[in-house]
Amino acid sequence: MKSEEIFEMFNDIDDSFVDAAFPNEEKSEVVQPQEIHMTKRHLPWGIAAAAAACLAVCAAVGAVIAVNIGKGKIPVVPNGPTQSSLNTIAAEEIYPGYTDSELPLTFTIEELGILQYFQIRNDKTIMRLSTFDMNIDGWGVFSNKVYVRSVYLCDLNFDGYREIAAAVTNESGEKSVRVADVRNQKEYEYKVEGYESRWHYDSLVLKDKKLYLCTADGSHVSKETLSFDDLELVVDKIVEPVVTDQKIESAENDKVRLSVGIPKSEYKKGEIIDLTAEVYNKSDKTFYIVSPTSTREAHLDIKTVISLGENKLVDMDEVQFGNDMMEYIPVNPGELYTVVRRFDTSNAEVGVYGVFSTVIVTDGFNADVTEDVTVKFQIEITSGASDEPATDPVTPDDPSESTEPEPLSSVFENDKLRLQVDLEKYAYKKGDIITVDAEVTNKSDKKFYIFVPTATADTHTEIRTNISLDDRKLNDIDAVRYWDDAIKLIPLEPGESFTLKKVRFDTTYTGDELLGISNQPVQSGIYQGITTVTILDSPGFETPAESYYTSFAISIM
Amino acid sequence: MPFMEDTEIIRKFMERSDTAVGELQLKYKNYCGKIAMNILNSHEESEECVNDAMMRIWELIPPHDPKSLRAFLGKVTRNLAINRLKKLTAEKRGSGEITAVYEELSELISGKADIEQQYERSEIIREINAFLSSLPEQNRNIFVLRYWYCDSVKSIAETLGTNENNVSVTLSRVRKKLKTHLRKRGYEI
Repeated sequence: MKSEEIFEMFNDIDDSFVDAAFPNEEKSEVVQPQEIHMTKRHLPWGIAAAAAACLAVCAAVGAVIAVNIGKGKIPVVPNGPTQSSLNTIAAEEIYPGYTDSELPLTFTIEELGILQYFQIRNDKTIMRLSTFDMNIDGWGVFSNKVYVRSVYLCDLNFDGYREIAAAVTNESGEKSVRVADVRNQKEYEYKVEGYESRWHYDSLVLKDKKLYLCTADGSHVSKETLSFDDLELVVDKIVEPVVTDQKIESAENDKVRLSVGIPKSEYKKGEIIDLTAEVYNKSDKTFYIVSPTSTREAHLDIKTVISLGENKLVDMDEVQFGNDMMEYIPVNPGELYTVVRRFDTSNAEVGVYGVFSTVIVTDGFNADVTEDVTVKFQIEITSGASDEPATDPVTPDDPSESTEPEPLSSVFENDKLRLQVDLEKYAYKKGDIITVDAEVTNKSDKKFYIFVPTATADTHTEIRTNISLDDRKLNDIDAVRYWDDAIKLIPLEPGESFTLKKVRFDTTYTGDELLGISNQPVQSGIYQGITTVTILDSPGFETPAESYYTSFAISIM
Repeated sequence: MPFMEDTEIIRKFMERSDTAVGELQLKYKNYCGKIAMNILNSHEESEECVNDAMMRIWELIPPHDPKSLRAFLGKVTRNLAINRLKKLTAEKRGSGEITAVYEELSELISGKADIEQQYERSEIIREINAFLSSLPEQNRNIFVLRYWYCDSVKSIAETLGTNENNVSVTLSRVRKKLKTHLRKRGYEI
């Protein structure tokens, strides 16, 4: 889709949004100016004094409002509400004892019952307590006489309890952010100083300020970037590995960062390859790592495959059995999930191996949509076998297994359907034919229809598979090179399956004749595959189409 | 003189009154002009576009009986302006704010969508509406002013009483959120 098409598509957004966004000039013109007739009258001194006092108060209030508007604290929306859309409440309403000289430090914030006082819309880490400035004279863990501009509850040290964070100004006028860790009776202060931290327009921006260690064992540190966005305190959490000799390869999306520590890029045959893989939750919501243990390899939480052509290294920690359960591993905001994988090179062929680690995450147990992130890199196994035996040689139960190509399966499953994709192996040489089998099974107790946007029987659009590296897409050999405007629906009764067998992809050339792209030689690398099925609940298109997909990765050497 | 109420203008269109277009023009000429100008960046073209829109409303009401006359008229104007822009672009004319808007919207394109992934436009619109509903009002207004009205960042900042930096940052974040929102629901545009 092109930008122009997206812009054009926006034309159909809800009328109410269109109406609300635009200043209502027409209505403002309806209001006619009023003539004001002033008559000079004498007031008694007492009333005049009272009026003067009122004026002074009004002027002061007006000044405060003007300052706040100038700072963007009160969103000014013509003909719109003048309040923030955030649920805000004054701190004293939340915690009546906040002005006391001592906080009951033996209790956690939750135990104090603070959180029950305001509506929690979701499990956001950051919660603003007040939009009003407060003058607090000695606030427990805070120092004396600070002018608290705004107060937030946020879990800044990932201990599962929210700390009190406040933007404050002290008597000298210095601005800073202070964090009171009530549970641990600690106070942190981050002064606004240097080029890393500054007041930017109306926002306090703290750049690259290290707030705390992320993990207790010190293996990782975290960096925080604090900023005030509108009326919210924004904390962008960035976790970086400690300084290490290991090379780190990472891949990420908006939610997940997957990092793999690589001790070295070259191994002698017989050595153990020891890789550490980590999943970090970058978002402000808990997600779940999906571990489909029903397959033979039970270590699919962070699946790591090292292969050369058809040969795959033996995962020494691999569990050779599983059950039918899908395992969901929760990862809270800011948390790390780490696994260590050891691979045996005893029976490995010499050469450059492709390594890819993949994690699949979902928002919840019942979420239909999963996301995956894959880290790709290469390591080399050399022939100069070490004179010394491997530190921990492990021979697989059946050595022949390590040379046999392992089949690759990828499954999406929910209450409604199961979508399974099977490939013969993970790794291919250029010129190989990739053969994909795909099957959709109706798991529900109702009939549904597979949506096929063409009348042609063999375009593989019943279950669509794309395999690509960046913008290079492998050619589907069996695809029919024409389309028409008709559609068809394939009914699927409860328990019934629809299967597409042996859809072939060429690994010699990429390109798409249909799109008029000329063929280009296939490049080596890790290719991403995605298989999608679209279904309708009824044949009459009364229900919206739902698409489900499962993804996989293959290596072309 | 106060402008005529929208319901009254619509009634005039329904009755095929000679004064309907005049009342509509009187009240909404500036509004439509701004939409057209933001997209076309040409007074001459915008004026023609607004005139076209007014006449088009004559053809559309009846049968349509819009709930919001302003939004209805705005959409007609916007569509006509986009069509006119396409023609101008083909003739290598036209520029201005729309170029920047297109560039920003290109961030929403995943590049993963191919010819086999032809989603129903109505499905995507439904998701976009759901996404907009979930936004704080201020952010939603910024987004709509930029990508519906094609308003400049400076103008949005002035309208909403904030600064340009805040508007730019908000737009950037909302674009990313929208892309994620769509992707999570299986739409790669």
